[in-house]
Amino acid sequence: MSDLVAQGLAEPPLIDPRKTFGDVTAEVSAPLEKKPGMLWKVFFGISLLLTLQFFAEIAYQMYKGIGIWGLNHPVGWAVDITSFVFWIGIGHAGTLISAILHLFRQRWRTAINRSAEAMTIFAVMTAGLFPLIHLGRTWFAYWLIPYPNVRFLWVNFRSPLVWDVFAVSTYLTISLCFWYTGLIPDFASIRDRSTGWRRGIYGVLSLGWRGSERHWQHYERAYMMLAGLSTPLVLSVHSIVSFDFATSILPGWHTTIFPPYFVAGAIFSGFAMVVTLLVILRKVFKMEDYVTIHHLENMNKIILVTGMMVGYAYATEFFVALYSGNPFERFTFLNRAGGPFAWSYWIMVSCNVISPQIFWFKRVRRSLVVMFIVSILVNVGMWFERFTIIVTSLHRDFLPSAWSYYKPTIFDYSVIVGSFGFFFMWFLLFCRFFPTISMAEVKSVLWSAKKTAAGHPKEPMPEETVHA
Amino acid sequence: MLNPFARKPAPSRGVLALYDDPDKLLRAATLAREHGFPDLDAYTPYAVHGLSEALGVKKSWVPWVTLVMGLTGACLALFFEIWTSAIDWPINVGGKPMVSLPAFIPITFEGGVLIGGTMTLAALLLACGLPNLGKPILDRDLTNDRFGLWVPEIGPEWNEQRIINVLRGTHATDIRVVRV
Amino acid sequence: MSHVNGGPKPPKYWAKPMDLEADPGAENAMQEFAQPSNADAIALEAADPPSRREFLKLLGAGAAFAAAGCARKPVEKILPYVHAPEELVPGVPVYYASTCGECPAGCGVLVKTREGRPIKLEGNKAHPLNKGALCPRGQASLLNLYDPDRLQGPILYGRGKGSKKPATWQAVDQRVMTALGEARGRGKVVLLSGTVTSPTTMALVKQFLASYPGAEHVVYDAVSQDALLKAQELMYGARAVPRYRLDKADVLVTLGADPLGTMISPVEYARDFYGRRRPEMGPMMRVIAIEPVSSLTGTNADERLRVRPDHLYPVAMAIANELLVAKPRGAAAPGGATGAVGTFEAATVERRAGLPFGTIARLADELWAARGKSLVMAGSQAAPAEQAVPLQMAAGLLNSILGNEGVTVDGSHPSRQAAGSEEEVLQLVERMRAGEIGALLLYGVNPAYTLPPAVGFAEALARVPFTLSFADRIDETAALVDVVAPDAHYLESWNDYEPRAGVRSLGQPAIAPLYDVRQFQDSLIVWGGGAPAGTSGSWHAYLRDRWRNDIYPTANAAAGFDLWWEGVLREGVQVAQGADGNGSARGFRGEALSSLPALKPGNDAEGLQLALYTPITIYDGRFANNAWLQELPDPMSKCTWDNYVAIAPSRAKALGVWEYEMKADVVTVDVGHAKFDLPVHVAPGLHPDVVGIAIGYGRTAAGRVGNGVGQNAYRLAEATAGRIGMAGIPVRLTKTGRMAPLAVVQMHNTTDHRPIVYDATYAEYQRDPRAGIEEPTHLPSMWTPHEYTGYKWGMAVDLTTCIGCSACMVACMVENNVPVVGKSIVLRGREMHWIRIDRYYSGNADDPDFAYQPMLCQQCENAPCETVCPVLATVHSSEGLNIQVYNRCVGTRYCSNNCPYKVRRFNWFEYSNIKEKSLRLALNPDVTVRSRGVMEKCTFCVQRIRDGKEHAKAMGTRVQDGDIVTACQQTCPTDAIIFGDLNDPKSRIAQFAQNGRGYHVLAELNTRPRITYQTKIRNREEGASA
Repeated sequence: MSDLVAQGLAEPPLIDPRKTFGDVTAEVSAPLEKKPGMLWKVFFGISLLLTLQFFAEIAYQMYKGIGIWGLNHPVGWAVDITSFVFWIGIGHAGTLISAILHLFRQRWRTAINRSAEAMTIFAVMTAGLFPLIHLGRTWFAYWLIPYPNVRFLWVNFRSPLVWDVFAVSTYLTISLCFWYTGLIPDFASIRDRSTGWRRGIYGVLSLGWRGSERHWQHYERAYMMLAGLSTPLVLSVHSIVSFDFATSILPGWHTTIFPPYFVAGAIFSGFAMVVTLLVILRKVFKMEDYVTIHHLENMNKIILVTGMMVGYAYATEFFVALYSGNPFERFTFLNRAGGPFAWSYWIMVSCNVISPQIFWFKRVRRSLVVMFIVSILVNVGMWFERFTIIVTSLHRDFLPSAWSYYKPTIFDYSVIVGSFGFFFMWFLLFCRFFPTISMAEVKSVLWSAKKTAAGHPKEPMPEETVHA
Repeated sequence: MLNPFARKPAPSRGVLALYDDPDKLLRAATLAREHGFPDLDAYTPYAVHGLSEALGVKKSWVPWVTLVMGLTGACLALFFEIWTSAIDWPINVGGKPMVSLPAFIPITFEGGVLIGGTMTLAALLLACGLPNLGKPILDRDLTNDRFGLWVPEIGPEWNEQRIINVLRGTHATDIRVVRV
Repeated sequence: MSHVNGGPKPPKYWAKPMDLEADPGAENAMQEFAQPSNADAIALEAADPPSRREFLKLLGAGAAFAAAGCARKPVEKILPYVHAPEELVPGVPVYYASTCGECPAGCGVLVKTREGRPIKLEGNKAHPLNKGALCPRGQASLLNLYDPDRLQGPILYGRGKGSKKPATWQAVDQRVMTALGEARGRGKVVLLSGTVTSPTTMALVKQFLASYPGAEHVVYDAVSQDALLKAQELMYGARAVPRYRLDKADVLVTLGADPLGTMISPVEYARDFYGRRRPEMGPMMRVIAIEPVSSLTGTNADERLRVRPDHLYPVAMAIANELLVAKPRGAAAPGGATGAVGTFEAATVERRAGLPFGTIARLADELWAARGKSLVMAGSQAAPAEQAVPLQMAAGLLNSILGNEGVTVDGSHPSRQAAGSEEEVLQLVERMRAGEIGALLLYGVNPAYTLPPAVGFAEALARVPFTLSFADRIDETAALVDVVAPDAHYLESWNDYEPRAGVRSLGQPAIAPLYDVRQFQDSLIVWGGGAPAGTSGSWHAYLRDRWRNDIYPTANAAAGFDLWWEGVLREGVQVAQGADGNGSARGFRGEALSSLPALKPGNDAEGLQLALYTPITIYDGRFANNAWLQELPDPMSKCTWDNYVAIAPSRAKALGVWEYEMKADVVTVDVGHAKFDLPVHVAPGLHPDVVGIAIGYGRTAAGRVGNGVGQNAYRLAEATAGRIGMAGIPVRLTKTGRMAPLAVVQMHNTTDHRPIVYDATYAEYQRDPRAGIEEPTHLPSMWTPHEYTGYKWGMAVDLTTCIGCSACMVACMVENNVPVVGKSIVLRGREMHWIRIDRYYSGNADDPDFAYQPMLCQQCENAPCETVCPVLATVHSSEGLNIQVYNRCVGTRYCSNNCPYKVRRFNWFEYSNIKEKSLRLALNPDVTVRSRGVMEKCTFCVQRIRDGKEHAKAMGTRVQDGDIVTACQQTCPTDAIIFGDLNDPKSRIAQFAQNGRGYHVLAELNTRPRITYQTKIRNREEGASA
């Protein structure tokens, strides 16, 4: 069988069968039980600083006005909504991995779904900031929520921005439920191996889970239901985000291809982000045994596929624009590829369409260095995709008299890096205090790995190791 | 169970047999079931497949909650949108009709997912009687690398010796009577 | 209701300041006008150029009274009326008929005041010149009243001209009397002023000068019509500007003249002009512009011929030659004409001027065909100094050949709007240098700034023992004098005007002087040895008496004087019998023609020629400190806050300079005697050999707004042989390699064949009124449209009559408290104008056609902005208005993104709290000021609609057509904007919306705009371009 594996005809085991259930618990809980390493401290320090300057910028903006950004009259949105869409997109990979792959019984997800879901939650938290701070009067952001007020005034349910409010908040809530459900048994495991205040805290977090079969029975079905709900949810959320543009009348925005195009893009960027994170995480917390090259390779395959989907979308969009005979539409796209913002358009194309093509080669797919670089490139490219869509469509629309250009200010940059700091800060905290790998699920995978391995005399029988 | 929320009188003690491997647990569970021990339960670090059948645990009713609550949420959302935009204060917005149904669909859907999802989690906790911090842990390894079969004390004719005898042949790493 | 459409309410006027003080309303007003504390004064001193931006931010519409409703804004202390004055009902505006005193044109205005504050100027319908319209400068002159940089009182300089200290009027009077007394010995007393159209003031001046033997009055205008006056004098014996009647002209030919923009009486000309340009209103006038730089008139002409300044005269003469010699048509020509024009042989002139062969013959034919119904106008400063007068004479000659004299050129009702003499002022400077002048009083002039440095006014001034300026600020000249006796603003003054013989209008104060200033005339009365016999001392009494003695008798009014006087004050204008009648031809003095130079033999000098022109916005520089005008884009270049070197595209290529996205190459402009650096502006339509630069910029002592904006182009002018030359000066441009920001508000100048502006030729229009319009394929709508049963407001904009003068833009800013944001913010593409004039080029890139298109909120029935607003901050009203609810807006800017017309404006910063007290007084209390972070846009002047509806309600009727007039419509000199109720079939708007030329911009988007545009009709033969 191993030769089959060598020939790539059979799936290699997702985890080393020689590990014991005990090893899993011990190794996964390790980072939580010992002091953080230097590397963690450095990363955390940097992200903390970036976060602080982010909130400093926001404070100054509240005080001075949105004018400190580079926006102007045709270009009403730029970095703000670009980053919003970018971060929402990042989130999608998490849900995809945990929910959709779960429904498809893709067991390799078990090693990565926990961190991917965490990424989702933090990405959505980050994304959620932008619709707030992009407002001219952020302090009235709650007016977007339909609550009974003295004006007897509700909200405009025809506005995609209101749809966003509901979509994003729902997405965050459900992701949290899903994530927490997954965490309960693991909290219990940690509770049972720790003492003192730690035991207290994790005991409360585990809600007193004891692993009774009657509970597992409900648990499994509930988890399945949540997965079932999250799957259409994740698709709907980015479709709705794309409606912000698709339902407007702006050439370059008013396009029916947007929902699938955006969803594909979201998965694409999300997986790239997961790869970026895991390559670091497995190194820093020595999780190589659990997050194997095999896992990463699978994700790279998805990056390759979605990358081509996105490329196809670009091509279709462009073709339709030229073919439609709509002069505004045609101009907008020629302007994208050849206008003042051509640089951002071509960054987008080279990063998103060209760079992933390298994953056609197995050796490259399995090279940590290459995949890390590509995943970064893809994230850059996807950020610029949103930037291109938003800014190039706005800066030259219907009346040439209103055309203008957009120049970012220092504050625009501050917001971009700040959002990354904010995201990584949360993620690092998560790595430090939560089990980054779903122990319960990995154990079930481990058992089947042992079963498969059992057929092999070379492998030792698991029983012996159990008591060792 | 007819009434999922009905609390049974909690047993004061029971026999706990520990195994280092889910297959052994499965065999023991089947055996115990054949001997007709009532209200069997098992404690495992992860969901072992086939165990519920072996123990004769009923299928979960949680999915029904998801379905019903999901539909309710969707209906509520749609009704709310129509009520606010067309009934409570109709306003001409961009020449659109008061009930712009296509525009109301996204939130209808989100409403369904939101209520459905949160209620599912609520139902799960309810069904498992969680949070429940008071109840003692039978054995710390049960959430780590041990698989335990639990035969609680039910009724007067309950006989711990008999149970232990039955389970002795099941390669248990340990069998003990636990008071709770 | 009458006052809604601008009709005057019974005005309340003050007999004399004393009455005013008795008036609690004014008293209250006075409280508001409390002088700034020392702290303010210091801050005011400390203001330096960098602080201008800050200051401008504050210039934006402010909290003040309007803010009373808005809790979060600082609320002004407002005092209740203890004894309410009868005429003054809080919340109800009072209108005073007066006259605009900012330029000599003397248009009648109605001053709208609220609680004692003038807040808006509107043209006086009763005034025969402007007939209810105003130019952008007239509209903006309100801000000059509240200009915080005005002097707060008189200033005395130390003898050494070093020290400068505020003084009391008593001190000033003493000083002046003694000084003038001494001056008797030392030399002449001279009053140097701009054109004064007030007959009473002139009478007073004479009287004043009489009390100082040998005293003289020298008149000088920076924007001078001297050449025209001189030519008129030579040709007809009288030094007066004739009345040009565009309303009687079938063909108008301009030779470097800009009657629609800045020449003499632009509003009057524009009023007459549009009546002959709307194709629905009978035969359309044909306009041919022959000019070096693109003027407002030229860009609205049906045919533009680009000609170098030094070729204007030859071309004019060649046309005359064509009419008299080449193809004699038996015209009655004055003796000697044939000889004078002899040398100007068409072919030669055409070759040298670079005109296509046969052009001149064609022009001659066209003019001849329209003889007696044509008009030739020439610009006084468009030709080189030595040709300025000849050019005017050539124009006059043409008019007389064509029999226009007495018809379109009416010398029997001369205009008094220009009187300045370049010769005299230059002589004056010489005499000052020679020490012949004992005392110099400067009124309404700023020669230290406007005279070419070569003249050496400053040094000459230093030689005058006593100098005094009436300037309202320490301007370039006032900084060099001994005494500054600030004159009151015209809205604080009594005055009368006679812009045209027999058309007499009155100026009455709409507010007490804000500061310790004294009207020029009052000062003269004091210094002229007290009040003249039979007057009660004050200038007001003097004025009244003169009207009683000189004008009342001629009016043969039935009523007694007092009643009649009140009536005139109410009307604001009194027109003598026949003053508006037809003119009679004057006899042409043939001998004058002998002075006309012959065509220079040989070829012309190569190289670039400078053409200094007067900008539409800040005129000769007197408006430099007026932020409304500084931020008003020049109609042709769309550039704000700067002057620039305008050059033709071909020339730019040759020089290797360019302008892109608000960045422009800086070039050094060198005329030999002066040079400076200035960014270029590439201006299609300019003659390739011409360099156009606007005067009026580069002020150093205008105030915090105007100082250091652009470069002073007067320095490039030359003074030769008693003339000041503004054009045809040889100039060298050298590229510096530096780039400079140029705050243009429109960077892309063609429609790219998009369905935005449609045009057609007159011929095509006559065949088919819908000519030129591409009928949109109407897309089916998913929804059934909403019904509008009550009022249904709509607007029509006629692109044919719109001349792009931009008066509407200023009117809108004044009416709606639209903030001024300053150059740095305009550079970031954030100007706030609710209505803008889009200017599109079409056809040939070097010599394009121009189209002006006012663009404002289209009030779409299917408004894309409304659908996307999450908080219902912009919704539709039952009357079809696209409402913007400021206090609900959270500022997502989504509406603006989704607006295909990009007419929404966002408050990027806090523009609404004005620190300068005086500026707050200019606010319209009926319009909310918008705070930071909210979107704003054109509301169709909803406050005026409300007002109109309330009045209709009070009268128990429906709103009548014309009762509600938007600010932009009200001031439009060419009636290009019509507003009204589309549901009223008899309304003008309903008829316009149906007339053949109506179309909607971007109709194919199916947004169903409420604004109907009317195609631009060009009166020319060949097919429509663009």
